[in-house]
Amino acid sequence: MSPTIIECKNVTRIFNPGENEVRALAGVSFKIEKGEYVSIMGKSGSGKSTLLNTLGLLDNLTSGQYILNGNDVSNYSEKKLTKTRLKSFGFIFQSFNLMNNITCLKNVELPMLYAGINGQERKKRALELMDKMQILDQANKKPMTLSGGQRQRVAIARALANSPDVIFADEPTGALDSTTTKNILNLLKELHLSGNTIVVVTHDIGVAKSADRIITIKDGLIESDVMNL
Amino acid sequence: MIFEYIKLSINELFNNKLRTFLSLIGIVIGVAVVFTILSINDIANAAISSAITGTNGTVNINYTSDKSDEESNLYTSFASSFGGIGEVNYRFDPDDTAELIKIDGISDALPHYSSSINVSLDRKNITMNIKRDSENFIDFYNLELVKGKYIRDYPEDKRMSIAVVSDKFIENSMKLTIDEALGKTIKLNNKLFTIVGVSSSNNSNIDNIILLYDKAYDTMFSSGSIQFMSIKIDPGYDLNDTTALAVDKMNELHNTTNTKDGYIQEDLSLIISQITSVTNILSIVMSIIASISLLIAGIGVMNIMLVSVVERTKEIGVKRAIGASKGAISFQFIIESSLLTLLGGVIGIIFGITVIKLALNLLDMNLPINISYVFFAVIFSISLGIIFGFLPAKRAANLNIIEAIQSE
Ligand SMILES: Nc1ncnc2c1ncn2[C@@H]1O[C@H](COP(=O)(O)OP(=O)(O)O)[C@@H](O)[C@H]1O
Ligand SMILES: [Mg+2]
Repeated sequence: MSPTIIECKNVTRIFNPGENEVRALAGVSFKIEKGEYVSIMGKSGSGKSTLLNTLGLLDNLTSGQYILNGNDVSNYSEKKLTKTRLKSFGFIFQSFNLMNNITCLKNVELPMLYAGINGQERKKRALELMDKMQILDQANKKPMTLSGGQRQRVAIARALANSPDVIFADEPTGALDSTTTKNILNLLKELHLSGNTIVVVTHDIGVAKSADRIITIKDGLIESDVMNL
Repeated sequence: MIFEYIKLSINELFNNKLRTFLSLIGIVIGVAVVFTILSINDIANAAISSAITGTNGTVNINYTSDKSDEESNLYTSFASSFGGIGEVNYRFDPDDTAELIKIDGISDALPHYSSSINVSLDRKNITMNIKRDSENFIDFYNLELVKGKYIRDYPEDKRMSIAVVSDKFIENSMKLTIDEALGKTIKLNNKLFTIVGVSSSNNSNIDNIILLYDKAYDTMFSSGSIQFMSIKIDPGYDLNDTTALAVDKMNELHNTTNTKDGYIQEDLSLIISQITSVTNILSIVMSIIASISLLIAGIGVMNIMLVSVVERTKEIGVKRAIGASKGAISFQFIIESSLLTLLGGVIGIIFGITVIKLALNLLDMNLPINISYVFFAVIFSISLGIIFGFLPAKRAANLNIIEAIQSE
């Protein structure tokens, strides 16, 4: 058995506590092991994004415990949180979220710039990753000139820049057509096969099925957690 | 690494040309004024020294009845510059010059004869300073002859009834042009003198004079009208130190070293303080203008950076999500505002230099631009960006990541 990377113990996230409170996460518990490819599926508003943001240390949980690599993240300082996002996580968003006024290459380099890696090495690794994502020829273009699928590949290359332990993707194919969706899903599969841990949030059963394990949530609670082999 | 941040910032500034331009205006004005203030003091100092000592390093030695009394020193100084009203002193000997020029650093000495006289011009009487020519008069003062000839260019027998007159006198008192004045006669003590030359000088001793041949002067005025002794100091020698040596020598020659009366250096401090008080007021007024425009400009920069933070909220959120620290985000904004104010500062300096050059041209002065002021203004501009960029940078760094990413 692989070591556990992520463990949630009765995690809740309540927005606007008091009168209009929203229990986006009503108490979820699960574990994710190293090398797993997990999809979190559910209807819109079920709490998927909230869960992913919590796992990605972008948002704070209200109660419960989140244990990352054996450490309770509630003890993390601001600095440690930032460093974890930088070095251990890679994020892929539905709307790509690339910086539009710099080149794709610079976009991929950005996390390495924040990690303090020197210019030469940054460029070398960024080009390698872009080659791997088959967008090497787009390196010096601005993101807006690329197709959606190409842009998501740039975003994936960016997510991989600092060799993260976990890749988080929130509706990564939500803005793509079915052919491109397939290509991106294949890419994620390849990344999984080469050893990456991946957590994908989706409302689309088709997308969810490309993962090895499907966690379904409803109203902030886990409805089912099944292997899909 | 920092270059990468600077590149990103330049990119950002170029993406918002209009905004960049608007925020520059105040900085440009403020820095231009600051730069001008710094330079104006230099110009004033140069103007002071050239007004008092001429451009060729002459200093006056006065006689006073009380060396320790500053009031009386001032009085003497004024009395001499207005042509010896009141007590006339017989304390200067033309032969003193021989002793004075032996002093190291003194190239020449000139007894300054001066008498006030009523000059009738078109039936109007004005009081005028008459000066006595001598062999070294022209050289001593670097007197420039702008028109006509000089007294000693004429043969001995012609010199008794001619005069060289300063351009100021012609233009201000005679109300003539320099060309018209040549050949005209003026009446001094019922004697007629023909104007044969026009002189020009920016030395206040001799900028408004009628110069007569020494023998003509001596027949008109009794001897003993030496107002003060002028000495000329070689370039490279300290004006005050060398003058002090000459003052000591004068006291020694006249046995006044240990007496109450004696010789003193012309009191420059009052004249200096008058000029500096004018330039100080000017500096204060300009400082206020500069402070206000810099404050407004700084707030403008801060405002524009705050707008920029709002506009780029999503970008900030994404950057934070992919691992940018709070420090990296605020650094980016500080760099941006500093680049902005630096750009404004550089344009301001260029404006400032242009203003100074124009002013120097008008004043007919030649002063090099002080590089240290340019340097100061550059550092100052950058500091302005850091100070006023601080709040926006802090705000950017403290945005809630999720809210920032979800904003549009
Ligand atoms: N910042 C917030 N403030 C208040 N309610 C929120 C906030 N974010 C999400 N919610 C609510 O939490 C619930 C779960 O949202 P979300 O995690 O985005 O769902 P999903 O990604 O599954 O569509 C929804 O009812 C949503 O309206
Ligand atoms: Mg969602």
